[in-house]
Amino acid sequence: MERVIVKTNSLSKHYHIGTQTVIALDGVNFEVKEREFVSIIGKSGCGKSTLLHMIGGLDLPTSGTVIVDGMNLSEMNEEQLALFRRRKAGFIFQQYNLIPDLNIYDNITFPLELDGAVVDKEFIQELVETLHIADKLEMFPSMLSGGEQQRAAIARALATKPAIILADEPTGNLDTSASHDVIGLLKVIAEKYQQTLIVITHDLDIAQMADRTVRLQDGKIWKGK
Amino acid sequence: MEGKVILMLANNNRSVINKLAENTIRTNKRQFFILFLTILLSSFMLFSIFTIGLTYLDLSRLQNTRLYGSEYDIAVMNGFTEDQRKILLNRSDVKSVGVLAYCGNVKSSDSDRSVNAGFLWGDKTYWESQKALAVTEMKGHYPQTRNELLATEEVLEACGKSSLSVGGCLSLTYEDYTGIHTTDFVISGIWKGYGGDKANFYVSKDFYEQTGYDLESSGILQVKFKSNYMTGKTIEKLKESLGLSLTQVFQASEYIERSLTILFAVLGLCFIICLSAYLLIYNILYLSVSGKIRYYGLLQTLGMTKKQLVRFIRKQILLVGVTGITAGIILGISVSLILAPYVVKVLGISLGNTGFYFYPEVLALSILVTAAAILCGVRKPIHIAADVTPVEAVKYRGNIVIPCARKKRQGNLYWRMAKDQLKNNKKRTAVVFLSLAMSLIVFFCLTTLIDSQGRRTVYPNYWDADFIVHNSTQTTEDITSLKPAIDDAFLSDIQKTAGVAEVHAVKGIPVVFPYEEGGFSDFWIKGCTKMKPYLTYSDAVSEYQKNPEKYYGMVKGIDESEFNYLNGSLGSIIDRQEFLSGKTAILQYAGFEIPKKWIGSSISFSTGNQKQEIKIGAVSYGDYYGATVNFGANLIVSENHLESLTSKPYVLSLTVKYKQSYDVETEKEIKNIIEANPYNHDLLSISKYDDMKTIQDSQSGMFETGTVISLLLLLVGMLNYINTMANSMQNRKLTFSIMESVGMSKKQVKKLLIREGMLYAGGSVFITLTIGTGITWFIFQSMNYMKIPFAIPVLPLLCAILLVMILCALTPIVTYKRTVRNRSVTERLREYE
Ligand SMILES: Nc1ncnc2c1ncn2[C@@H]1O[C@H](COP(=O)(O)OP(=O)(O)OP(=O)(O)O)[C@@H](O)[C@H]1O
Ligand SMILES: [Mg+2]
Repeated sequence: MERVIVKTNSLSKHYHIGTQTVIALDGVNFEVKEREFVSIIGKSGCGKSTLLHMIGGLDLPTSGTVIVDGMNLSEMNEEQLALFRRRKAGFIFQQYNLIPDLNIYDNITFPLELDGAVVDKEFIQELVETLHIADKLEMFPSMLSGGEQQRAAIARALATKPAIILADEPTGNLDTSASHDVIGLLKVIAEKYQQTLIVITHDLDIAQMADRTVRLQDGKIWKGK
Repeated sequence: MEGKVILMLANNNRSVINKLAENTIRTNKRQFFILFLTILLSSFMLFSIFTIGLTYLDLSRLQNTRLYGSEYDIAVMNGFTEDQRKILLNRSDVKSVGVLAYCGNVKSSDSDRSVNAGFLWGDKTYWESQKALAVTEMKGHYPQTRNELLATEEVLEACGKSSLSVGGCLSLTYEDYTGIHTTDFVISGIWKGYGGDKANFYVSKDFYEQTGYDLESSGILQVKFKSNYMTGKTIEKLKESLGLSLTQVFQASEYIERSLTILFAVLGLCFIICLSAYLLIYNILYLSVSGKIRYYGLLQTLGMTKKQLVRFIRKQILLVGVTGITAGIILGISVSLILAPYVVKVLGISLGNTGFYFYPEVLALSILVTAAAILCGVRKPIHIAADVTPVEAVKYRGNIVIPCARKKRQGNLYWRMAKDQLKNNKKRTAVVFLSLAMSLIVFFCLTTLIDSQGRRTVYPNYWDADFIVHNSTQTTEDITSLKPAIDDAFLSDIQKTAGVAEVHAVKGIPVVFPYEEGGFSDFWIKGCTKMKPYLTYSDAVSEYQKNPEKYYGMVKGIDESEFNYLNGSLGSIIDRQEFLSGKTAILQYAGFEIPKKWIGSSISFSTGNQKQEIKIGAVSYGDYYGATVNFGANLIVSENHLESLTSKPYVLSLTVKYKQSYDVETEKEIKNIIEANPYNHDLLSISKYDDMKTIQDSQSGMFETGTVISLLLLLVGMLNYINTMANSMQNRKLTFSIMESVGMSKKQVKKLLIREGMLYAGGSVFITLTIGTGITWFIFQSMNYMKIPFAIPVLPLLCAILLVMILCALTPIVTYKRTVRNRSVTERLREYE
């Protein structure tokens, strides 16, 4: 493994609800090397999604820095962040977040179209076939089952061949064998296109497929017992 | 848990539902605020537009009254019998029957030897009820005794007596049915106001009775109906019931003849306005109820029964509806009954006896239409909400149509997505198109109507002249009276004036027609004596033979372009070459019948001591070339021919066209040139600018109220668009958050939103320009009793379209910004977890 592609420096995120403050992340120092496959585990509410959002440029930290591929995300403006999300990061959301007004095909190719890029039809076809949603392309997200929606969201994240894939419980709605297939696919693709892969999961089997597992607890990296 | 809820609802469901309804409204503040605003705007629009609209109709009737000089629907002219007056008086649908009669014309005063003014007598009903609306100021009283006169400033000036006030004396020489008299008069009153009768004196009944005129042969009956709208049939029947003689003329005003069509057009406009209010409420209601189907499904899973759910939704809508209508009506009352009259007062606009009144019918209509829209609008979505199963509800996404197999994806991403938006939300697209197009169409319609009112001043000449000056130094019996009031210096001064584009002069010379027994001059003098009963034919003939100069006529010269126009209006019956070379002339009609036999025959006349002969080619009934006061005939010849007859023709009139119509500077300079002319008292000017001012004056308040209505409509239409957009943004904010999360930048979102806005604008403008032009044309034509040509008010329409475009482009962006506020993408996404 070569250089560090993701690096956070005492990363903190606080949420204010009225007078109360929720500390979702508390001084997290975290590194991922290029082409590494890292899994993140931890209890519900420990800040896993928050961390991934910070790395994906979806939210800005309260303090500390996030550096991805040499870019300091906290110093970027909205326009640059949008470009970063579109070109560098492929995000798979816990809630799938497919665009309800677009059919599955349009959902998958949407980030490419935003860039005005030529859609690599063969690659997309390969993706949807591997993910078993080739027959759902004309349908709208609301007509799909949870698992199908999740697979569509994965296809969308991979379509742009991003440098780094961020997956927030990508197998939450899939049965065990399908889960293993999907993670396998993610690994194959990541290796093929030399991508970095960070996956949040509850499934320890899946966590073990990674090169390295990081555990979060109460907004901090757990340093082992 | 479920059991608990069911129990709770069953035990005490009324209060729970009430509480739930209030809570839902509180937590869905935005959604309900939009619904509230829509209801408010609709009831406000209905109330204020109808209230102000009724005032507008009153004002337009007032304008007619002012332009006609008095208020009447039907006139019986050329005399009437007492029986006919009784028939009219006994009708239940008649409000008033006034009598007006012409009784002589003033020829000169002790200060001006050439005066053009008439004597009129009107009875009490005429003066006090029909004329009153056109009188804005009255000093003194209506003439009571034989030597009293009621004057206007205009007529006094025409007599060279502008310094006279009430109580002043003047001596007038006038002609009536009994002869020519010179009498001393006292001014009993001076009035100001509107009407063509301002160039006349009103006289007393006593005076009228001694002029030799009688009501049976020359009186006018003016009838005003109680209702403003009459059917053609009623008018026709009334006409039949009068048993008119052959010479009597029955004339219904153009307004009353078309009143029913106008009423229908007005009702049509009202219908469009009501319909647009109805559709808006219906749709916003539909969108906001169906937008909460998920929530209602959840309530059902928690054990709420259908009945409870329906009652629950009704409760919410009732709360919003009642407050919305009340607020709308209150706003309507403050705008149309407090603000509008105040603005009118501040602007110093006189509304005559009309004004802004409270009409209970308008209140009832506004509430009724709004309530009906709410009741109908809530029915269908309630059924959807109640019939949907909880599971379906959770997935409910409105009426999305599944597109058939996608064709090749082509074109710009943003345009494509914008088009999809419009296509996939047909209902919303329809509402937006409807509300924007309707307000644009009604704006279009009203501005066209208002604009056409301003163009009521249409000149009958082919030139559309801006200024006409007549040389009126001439008197009837003196051939030497005509003076060179318009000389070369004067003409060149006018030509040199900066804003003048063209000047045409009509020149002429007085000529004598020698008396020939049975010839043209004999025929002519016979015709004249018929019109002046105090002259006998035999006296006139012997006078003519002794002194033919006293019966002089006029030869007028016109240039080629005017000949082309005149000949065209006569049906091109005159050979051009013959006219230009001076072989034929056109005879100007003088008020009595000219038999066909004179056309083609030659007549002789003399200028100075030269004898001339010319053929009559045609008779012209127009008086465009100036009415002259000579007894003898007027002949129109070519300019060149006139110059061959005399080296020094007189200029009878000048027709001036400006580079820019209604140019105030040019107008002022020309008036100064006239003022400096030594004959200025005998120069009669007609100015398009002054006419326009008079008309504008008579319209006081109309333009303003009309503009207020159309702007209100435009505003309401735009607010509705904003409302609909805010509503749709509410439903779409998740979509935008997701799009941003996968890398769409704010700039790109804006690009998309602007395109959507442009599609909405484009669609509405297209509808306006196509269907809207049709509707406007139709309504315009059915209300157009003044026969004004249809013209599109380009500038206001363009401004309105531009405004709508800008609004369409900006609204989605602003509403988007407002929903985003400063929150990060994740925060916005979380709202839906
Ligand atoms: N926008 C927000 N406002 C307030 N609190 C928030 C917000 N986002 C996250 N939190 C809080 O931050 C903490 C971490 O949330 P996060 O979503 O990262 O948890 P998670 O580890 O992903 O949990 P799960 O496994 O259930 O998805 C939680 O306690 C949550 O309540
Ligand atoms: Mg999470």
